[in-house]
Amino acid sequence: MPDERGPSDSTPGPAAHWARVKAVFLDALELPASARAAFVQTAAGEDPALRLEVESLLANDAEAGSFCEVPAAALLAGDALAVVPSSPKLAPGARIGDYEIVRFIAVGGMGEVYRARHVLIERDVAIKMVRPDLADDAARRRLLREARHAALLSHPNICTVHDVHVADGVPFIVMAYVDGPPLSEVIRRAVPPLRDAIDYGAQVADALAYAHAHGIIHRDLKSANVVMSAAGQPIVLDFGLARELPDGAVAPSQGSTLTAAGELAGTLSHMAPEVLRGGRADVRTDIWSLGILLYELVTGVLPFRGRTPFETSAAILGESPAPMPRRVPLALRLLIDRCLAKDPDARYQRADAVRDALDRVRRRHGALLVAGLLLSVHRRTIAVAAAAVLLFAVLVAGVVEFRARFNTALSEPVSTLAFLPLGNATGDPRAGYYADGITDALTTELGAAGDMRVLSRASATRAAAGANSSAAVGRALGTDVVVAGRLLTWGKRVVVAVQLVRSADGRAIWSDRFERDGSEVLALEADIVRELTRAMQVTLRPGARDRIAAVRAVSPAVYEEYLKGRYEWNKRTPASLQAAITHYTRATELDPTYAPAHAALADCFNQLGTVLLGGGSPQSLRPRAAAAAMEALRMDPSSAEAHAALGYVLHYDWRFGDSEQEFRRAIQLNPSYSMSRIWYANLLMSRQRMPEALAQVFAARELDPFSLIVNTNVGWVLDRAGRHDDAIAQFERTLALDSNYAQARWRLADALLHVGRTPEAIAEGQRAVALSDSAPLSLLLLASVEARAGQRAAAMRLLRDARARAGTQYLPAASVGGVFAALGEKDSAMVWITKSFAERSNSIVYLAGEIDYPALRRDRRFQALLARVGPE
Amino acid sequence: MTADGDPSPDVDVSVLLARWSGGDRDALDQLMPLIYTECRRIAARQLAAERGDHTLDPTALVHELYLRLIGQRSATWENRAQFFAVAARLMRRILVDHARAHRAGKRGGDALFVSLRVAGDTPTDAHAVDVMAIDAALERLGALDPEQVRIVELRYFAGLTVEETAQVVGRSARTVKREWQLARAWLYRELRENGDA
Repeated sequence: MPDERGPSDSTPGPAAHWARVKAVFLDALELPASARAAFVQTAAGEDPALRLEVESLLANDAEAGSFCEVPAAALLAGDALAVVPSSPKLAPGARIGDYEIVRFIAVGGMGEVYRARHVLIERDVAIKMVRPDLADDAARRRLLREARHAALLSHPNICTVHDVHVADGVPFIVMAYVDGPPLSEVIRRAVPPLRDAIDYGAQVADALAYAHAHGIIHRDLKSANVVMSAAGQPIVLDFGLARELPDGAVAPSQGSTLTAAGELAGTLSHMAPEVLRGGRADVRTDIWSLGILLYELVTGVLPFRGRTPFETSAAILGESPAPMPRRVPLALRLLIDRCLAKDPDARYQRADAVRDALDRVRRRHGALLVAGLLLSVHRRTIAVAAAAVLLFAVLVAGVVEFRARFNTALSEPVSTLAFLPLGNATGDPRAGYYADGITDALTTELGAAGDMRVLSRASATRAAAGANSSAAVGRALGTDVVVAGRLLTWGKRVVVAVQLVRSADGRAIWSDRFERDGSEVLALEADIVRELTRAMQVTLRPGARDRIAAVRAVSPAVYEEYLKGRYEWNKRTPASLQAAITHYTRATELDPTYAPAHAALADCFNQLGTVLLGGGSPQSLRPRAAAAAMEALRMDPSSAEAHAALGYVLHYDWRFGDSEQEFRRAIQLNPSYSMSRIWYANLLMSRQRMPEALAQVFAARELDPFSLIVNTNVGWVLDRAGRHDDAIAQFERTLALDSNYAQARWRLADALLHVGRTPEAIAEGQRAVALSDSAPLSLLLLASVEARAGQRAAAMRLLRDARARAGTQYLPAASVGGVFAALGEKDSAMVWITKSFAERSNSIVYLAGEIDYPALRRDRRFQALLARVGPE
Repeated sequence: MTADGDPSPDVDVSVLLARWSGGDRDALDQLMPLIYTECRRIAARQLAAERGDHTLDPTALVHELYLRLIGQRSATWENRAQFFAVAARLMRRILVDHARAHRAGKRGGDALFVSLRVAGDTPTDAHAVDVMAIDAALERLGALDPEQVRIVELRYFAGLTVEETAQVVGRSARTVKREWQLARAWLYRELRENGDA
């Protein structure tokens, strides 16, 4: 076909079409999933084919799951590269010695495995051949040695080797045929019940103890090498790499190996650290493997995994495995941890010691189950007492070792705590907001849960940035303990692993792993709060207990919007607050009963209306804030955030008494929530109750020592309390935290003016303008500084510039009025201040105490305006 | 020189690589058997050492291949990237050939190769996908966008991580991650529409 495009010349060729599809698709991936549809719509413009194609690909991307994520090479390369792709040597019915082949089973590392039957005694066996392409002397010797060693062993949990034959020069081993799936497959299908896991582990430990006593170590024990018999017994296969210990000695220090030095045997993720380093395997290497097997049995996953061999090796050599879930009894967790000690000397030294320890855990666990059953059946009867006694006896008898661990670690309840930002271990950087959001929520909930001080996320984050250990963060913040954790996701499951570290010595005193469905994130958070407070010996407040018990489900979509909103909120710029409003609004649309989204929405409207942010007129924003706060309280009357947001609204609505009540309630509900103290301090300051205001900001700073907003407001209150030098020092400390924080520079400029350091004040103002990209509002604020510094011409010019550049954009009338007042232009000032009343500007409540308006004070119109604010 | 013997002392692999990347298709044909032989040798040893777990670590394999064929002697980032691209293509070819043979065996009623190495009939891997179907789909994708195919070969057939792939193709990891996502979505749809996924 010649290149004839026909009538529609504009239709691009397939390559050009694809290029556009690709461009739009790749751009869409940069956006959060929720924003993609709208983006594709816009980007595709008038090209429906383009839009449909990108939408289809995005939908497929979302559905593809782990498709192709496991390299084909990893799955198939073994067969494809190393095995000559031919049919097995022996067909069903073939005879080999006294055995008749029933069928081919698999290709193992050494060769083919068949199921066969002894023709005379009709015994089912498995026959293991040497792979033809590997049938060199070394392989043959190895196989014979394997057989010779294994034939020595006779144990119910070890696969019996019956015989060694050679047919046509090819040796083969005859062993018991075990009909059942490998343990790895059993675990992959479903993690076994704890009792079974302990039981299997004890049997395997017994098998190892027996083999070790016969001078044989397995060297390659793993779940794929253990088959579950039809009777439910684990049978260990392939003592295949076993090597004879010299003179049958079992003592670990004398362990030796017949393998060439440095040869790495066993698959990487199962390898013990000493073997990985090229050292010798001994009995303790099998103990390590047993630890891996036990870990896998109770968690369903391997303890050391990485995306690359390098990562896996690093994890084996240097990292602790992810904490096991708390349904695993602590005694068992400690047992497994000890098997997985990096240093062989720190492990159990003998397999029978592991077996005995497992037996103890099994007995104890069984007794606990019985006690629990009694409790639930005979509730409210005398049997409760009996069961409790039994339970107590069990605890005393068996659990003493781990009680002691807690007792020595924490001699008294925790009083201060920092919750470090959860690490995002999902592998998806886009989940960062999710980890941050859960951190936020947990910090808030813990603060409300009991009588302890919980430092804010902002402070913990900042302190964590420069520290090299969790304990160092705790020491920098002066907290008793630090909580550190990681967030993971498994499909729809959300997993949070948490560790409690004592600041003084960096010792981990408690760790646990929490897992729930994505729709139960709130319940997951409640789980963590409940268990953490228990571990910290903190008594829950009565209200907190109800809150935790009454946790409701929230759909993942709602929670995602909420967390995205929090992420934007934390940036505190007009644009980010607008974005936060979009997310929170969407959350409330999806689930109108979700209180935190309403409360957060109220905060956004409140902050947008402040004079320094100037994101809109409070006249229109405040009613929306009020409505959102009320809605939040309707859904959750015990929300500290909602009470604080409402207090904020009422303050600037001149309902000072009501406002104070709300703030007090908020502080009562969550004493660790620093923002309610900061906003309460604003109220106290506007009411000229400076000592109380100072007390509140200082309390907030203690809770949140690294928060920019908190620190700035401490300086602001100090400045207005007349402690200008303290204020200046405070602002300088704030700017040392973040020199780009414009709000602190504006407040510093004010303080410098108050002590007559005008050139420095102007310089600060200019820096703040630069930090604000010369936004119109920043020019206006600088105009105010220049005017008060007596720089009339500069102030006029800046005022003109600001107004010209703002165009139709909102400028707080109060700020414009402030410039005119400072310039002594009383009439213009009055016009704008009157206008600021119409706007219901936040600044009005401070006018009475405002020291920058002396010229106006005597003006009757001004006094009339002030009277409107009234004492209440 | 290695203990297992030099695969082919007469041919300089890096010269062939340079010729291939310069557009000489014959060079690829000369490279393939060289790499193939060595690839199998390494794989066999890996498997023997790993005791029949019957899966390989393809990344380790490719790295080792590179060291043995190119050696430290003339190792540069440039020929390393070229080499990885060839090795990835080769892995694709081997795996597809294998799958084809495997399928032929199935039709003939012959026994199969399975990854499971112990007694029982349990089919092996939930992740297993039809390599031949992916190969065919890749042919179609190649007509549109050869770069996408390169990324799939490196990621899926040679088992390279996103970061390693980024080094080979000389783009940022961020870009490669998204490109890979696109390729995956495209292939997934293709296979699903053909009833293969």
